[in-house]
Amino acid sequence: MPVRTEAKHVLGALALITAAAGLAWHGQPSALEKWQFLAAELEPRLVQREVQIHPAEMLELMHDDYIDLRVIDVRDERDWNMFHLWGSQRIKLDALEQHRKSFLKLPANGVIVFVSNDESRATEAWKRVMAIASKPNAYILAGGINRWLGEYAGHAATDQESGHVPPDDTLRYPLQWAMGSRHPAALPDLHAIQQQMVSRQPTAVPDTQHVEQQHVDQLREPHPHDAMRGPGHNRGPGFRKRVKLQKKVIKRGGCG
Amino acid sequence: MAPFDLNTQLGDIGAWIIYAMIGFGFGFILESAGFGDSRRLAAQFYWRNLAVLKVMFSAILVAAVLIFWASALGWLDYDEVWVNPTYLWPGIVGGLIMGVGFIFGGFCPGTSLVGMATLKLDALWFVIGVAVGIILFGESVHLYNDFWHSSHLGRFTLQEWTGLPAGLVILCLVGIGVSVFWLGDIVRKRMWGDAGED
Repeated sequence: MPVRTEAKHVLGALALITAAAGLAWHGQPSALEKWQFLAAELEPRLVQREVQIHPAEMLELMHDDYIDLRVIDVRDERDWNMFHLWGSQRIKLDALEQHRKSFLKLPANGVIVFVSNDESRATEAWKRVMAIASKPNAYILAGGINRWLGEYAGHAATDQESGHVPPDDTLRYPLQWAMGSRHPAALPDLHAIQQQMVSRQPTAVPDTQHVEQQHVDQLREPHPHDAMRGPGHNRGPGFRKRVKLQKKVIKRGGCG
Repeated sequence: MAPFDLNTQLGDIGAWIIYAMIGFGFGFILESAGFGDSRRLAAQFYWRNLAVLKVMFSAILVAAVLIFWASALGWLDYDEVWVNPTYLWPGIVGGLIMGVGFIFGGFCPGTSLVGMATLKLDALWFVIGVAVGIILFGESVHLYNDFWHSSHLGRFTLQEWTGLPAGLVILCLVGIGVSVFWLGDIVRKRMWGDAGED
């Protein structure tokens, strides 16, 4: 082999080794750094509240057999024990990265919803998972558990969006016992709620009598579930559905 | 951030043009490296000509360094890059079959197409053999379907297997690659002397 060619090979090898050593020293971006890269693309979706889903839509998702729903609760253990949504899974914020592979394996009909007491922790979880798991089909429960309980356990609504409640992500609903997912509001009966909307009659809500009466009172007011009744039946502001199943285009390649 | 969905951004025709350009470049490089010649390819297995090892492994290493540098700088989302899922035992068996076919036929499927493009008769017969093999596989896969789908590990990469950071894995690979090139040349010279091909 000519000397000049050999020198070129040595130089090429040195360049490759230097680039690889630099890469090993630099490392790959952390979840936070990756979010910085993605922020320009994803932050507007957060700001325009395209990924915050209304509790009524969440309830529909929980009853939709077609959807492979993963509800990820990022609250602390105490709040989780007090109340959590039926079928939800508690994962600490710092432990989300350990579940990266399961987020990556989300099927085409898979939807992830992050839940916290208000929205701040769930938003943080959403950012991290969008960064580490290839932007899965993930959403945030609008208003969090506080608003959910406001909607389905008869408590006065604590809507973060209204600005009445500071978003400190604490559980404000006055629960007396740690009921976990045994609380009736953990999985409200969608059919019963829809029927109530149609008939406007106070039918049984699976809760204590006190809560039931509060819920019925609430249902007499304009309610987001009015939107479920179809066109021509809206009597309240309703809600706009956010969840869309994203069909990712997969380009498979290979070399024979 | 890449990867980009070219079909959406450029339209189908625009994307097809890009794909055709990449295919042209790939074929051009293969032919330029002499990979359309089955004798040159088969010489690899007799340690007489290490061009296949050097070109292919260099391409893999350069691509790996570029992909992970692009990921490190935030230009590419590595998680969105398609990685063939691992089916361990079927992969091992398939690799053995492919390797034996490569030694016997003198081509791999891609290089046989490059050889056929320059109207080489052996490449043409190899491509016919590949087509017959594909049909036979398709017609008989139900007989060993369970094995074909066995030992599925999903997207399983070297950094997950070793538990090491991607950069360190690539540095090790580059080290292994350069060492193999260097040692390979020494062995080739000892085995073949002047009869060996650079």
